[in-house]
Amino acid sequence: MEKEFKDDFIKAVVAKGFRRMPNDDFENQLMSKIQAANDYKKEVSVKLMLSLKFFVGALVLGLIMILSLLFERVTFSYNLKHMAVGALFIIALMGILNIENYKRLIRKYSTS
Amino acid sequence: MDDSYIDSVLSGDTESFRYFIKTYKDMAFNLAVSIVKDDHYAEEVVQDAFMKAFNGLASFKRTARFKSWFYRIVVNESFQRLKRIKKQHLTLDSEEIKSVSYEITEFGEDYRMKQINEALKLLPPKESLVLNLFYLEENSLKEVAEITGWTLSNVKVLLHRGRTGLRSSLETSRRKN
Repeated sequence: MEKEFKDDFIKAVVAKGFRRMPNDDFENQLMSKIQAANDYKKEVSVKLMLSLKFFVGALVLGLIMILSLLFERVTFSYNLKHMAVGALFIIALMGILNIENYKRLIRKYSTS
Repeated sequence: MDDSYIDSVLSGDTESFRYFIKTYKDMAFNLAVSIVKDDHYAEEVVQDAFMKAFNGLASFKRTARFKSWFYRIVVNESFQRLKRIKKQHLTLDSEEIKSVSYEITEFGEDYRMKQINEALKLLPPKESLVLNLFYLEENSLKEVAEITGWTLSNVKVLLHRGRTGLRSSLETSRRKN
């Protein structure tokens, strides 16, 4: 291993020029900033979870409706059956794709 | 020691992060000020670096030391800030820095200290940073290269230039007075 040359004079000069953080309250200010950011993340995370629950509920309902329409158990929308099935199928598909986005967002805003 | 605090923070105890602030704030400030050459900007850089470290703690791989990882964040943040400062044309030129440092050190500080601060302030950011990492933190050349992201030979060149520059600027100010 190559020996590293340390110049004692330069070492003393650099040590003398060492600058400490001038703001005495830096630690507390930063901790309160971190705490606030953390609280915000927690809040966003809770809201995202709620939204996800609602979204999954809507998705399940959509799938049930698709199945109901396919088996012709819903009579009031019989004439629009084919269009509705298509639309719900697309919504369900988008929903499944969106779950990945939710996962990503929750991971981003979760603190631990 | 650092590892147990990292585990604490990751398990949800935000208050444990105070340990890192307490331990590394001064050295981080010293590194930042050696690059941006301004106390106010350096403080902002350190604050941003700590926020980044806190947010990215989960992604920190324990193969490296926390200290090296964090100093790398500080160095990157400092150079980014320096770029922005230069863009805004807010950097003071050498003459202005000289006069400011005279004002700052006019009261109380001994004359030798004034000369040292002046000489360190006049060093280019990269050279000043390498000197601080190598001499103050007692990092090896390899560690300095890891923290800065520069090659080993580049670090050696900067260290040599830094030593020479510091010696000559101290010599010049000694001769002047």
